[in-house]
Amino acid sequence: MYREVEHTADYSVQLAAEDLEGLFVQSIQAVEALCGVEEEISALEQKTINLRAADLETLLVEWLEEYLYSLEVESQTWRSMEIRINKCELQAFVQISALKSIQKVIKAVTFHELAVIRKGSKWEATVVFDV
Amino acid sequence: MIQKQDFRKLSDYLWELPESYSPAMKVPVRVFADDRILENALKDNSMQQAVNAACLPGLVSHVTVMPDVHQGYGFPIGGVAASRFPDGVISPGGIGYDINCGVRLLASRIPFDVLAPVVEDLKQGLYAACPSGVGKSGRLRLRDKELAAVCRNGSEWTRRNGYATAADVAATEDSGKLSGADPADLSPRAMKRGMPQLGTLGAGNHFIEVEFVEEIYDKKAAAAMGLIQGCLTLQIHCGSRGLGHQVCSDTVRAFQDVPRRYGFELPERGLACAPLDSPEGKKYLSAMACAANYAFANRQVLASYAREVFDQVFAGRIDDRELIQVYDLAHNIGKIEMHEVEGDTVKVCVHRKGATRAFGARHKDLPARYQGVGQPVLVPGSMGTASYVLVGQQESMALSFGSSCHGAGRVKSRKQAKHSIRGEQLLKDLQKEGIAVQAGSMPGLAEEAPQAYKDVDAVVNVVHKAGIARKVARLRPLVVIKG
Repeated sequence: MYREVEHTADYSVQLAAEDLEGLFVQSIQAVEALCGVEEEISALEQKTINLRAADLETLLVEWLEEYLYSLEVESQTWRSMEIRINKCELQAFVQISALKSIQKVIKAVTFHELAVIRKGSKWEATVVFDV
Repeated sequence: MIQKQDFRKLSDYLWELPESYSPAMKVPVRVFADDRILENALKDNSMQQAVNAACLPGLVSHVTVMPDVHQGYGFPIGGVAASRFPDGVISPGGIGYDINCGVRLLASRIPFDVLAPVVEDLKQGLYAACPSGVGKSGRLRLRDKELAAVCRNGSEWTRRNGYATAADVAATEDSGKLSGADPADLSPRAMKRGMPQLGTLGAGNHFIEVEFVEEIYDKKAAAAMGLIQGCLTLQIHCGSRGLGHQVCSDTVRAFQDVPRRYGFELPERGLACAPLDSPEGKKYLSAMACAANYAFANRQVLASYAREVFDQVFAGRIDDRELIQVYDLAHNIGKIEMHEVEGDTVKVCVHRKGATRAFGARHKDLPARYQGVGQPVLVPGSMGTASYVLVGQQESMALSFGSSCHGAGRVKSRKQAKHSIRGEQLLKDLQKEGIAVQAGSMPGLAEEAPQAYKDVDAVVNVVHKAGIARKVARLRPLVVIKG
């Protein structure tokens, strides 16, 4: 489960999940909640997202940037995601719906103090967004 | 954890954290603050972020922190750092995702009591004419070539296309055009994001505000700026929109392995950087200039829309209803400037993140109009509180690389603000104070409540007393448009 953490000017969320794929899904859920995303009840489209990065932190940033781009430019949100992560490669099958409304904008995902780490039985990361 | 006793007090308003505080620091950190501001700044990570910034290769003299400081990501907000050419670094995090987020101020000869019968018309007119809010597109639909021209030429593009006068362009930092902007250095996504958004305000802490000149402190400077006590002014706060955000995102990602390749270590990844004269550094400087020029053009187009609204709303009520540009300046930017460092004149890249330029009188980069007084420095307060106009002082060059604060600075997190303040109640409270607010989002409004910000009077007092910039006028808000 994610939780919002204190940050003076921007948004920061702490993510924790049992596997990496769950962590990445949770990161999208966190952005949806922070931005107040509401979807249209409409026919769904599907798309495949393929990403490759040098490390997990960059992979997470690129994943979130895909979603922010989807919100801003394509006016779409992601209803569901099926993700496979192998080392630092991600393949996701995403069901897309049209965006009905959004309350807040996130400008960007930052690398500030970002570390995707395994702690005990969970994967964790804290992400700071520029607002 | 950094504590107050780690600082040396250099004067009533200047504190230094010496480079001996951490072996990785290349230069000391100097903080412009009174006691209270410094003590509050120690409650979040802003001072540690200043220490981290002081670890960047090629920095000269000191990292400066302004009194509106608060925690950012990488650099603190309110941070200034200068890196020496050619092998000092440029760090996109030291400039920010919203490249050339900045402020434009226009003045008028309209007495504020002329506004009262038409305040609702003005508010609605500005809200309709100046697209604001999340994901909103503008009235302009640029194609690739036009967007490229905006990115190359900034305010000059707006003048050629009828949105600006020559006087507007002259009263803009760097005449609204940073040189060296090559749109080929922008990614397709940056271009795609930029195309529909020219002439839009965005959301968050961006705003358009109508004020009146409540008090004048420096008559000569106010006269040069066209500020008349009791008359209306208009401020626009916004930046480079999605295009700028994409430039920074693209670059921070691309720079992740650059420090390793050039053989230096950084305390954190948000400070990713490249030497100024490297191919990576040059590409970012070019892309940053594109985004900066886009932002200058953006504020100019919004100003032209606002002028149309003023003309319509005040028609028949007052003959002289023109909005005259006072100044437009950036507060998230990297500028190539010459500065005196230990007796030598040195070419540096000054990173200003939540800080503005504040050049004094007779600086060669100022327009003729301000040669005798110095550069206007614009410090917007939070919604509901005063804004200030100051004038840069020559002493700022040695004190802070010619830089000043940019606003009030946050004290409450957005989470705290939206949980303790209701947007609807805030609207009513501001209305009781005579401030008409039009906002696209109540949660967004709550996050920007005055209670979430520092006391702007105290912040401005520090830069005034420290000799960075001198107070010229205080502005009181009457109408606020927020996305």
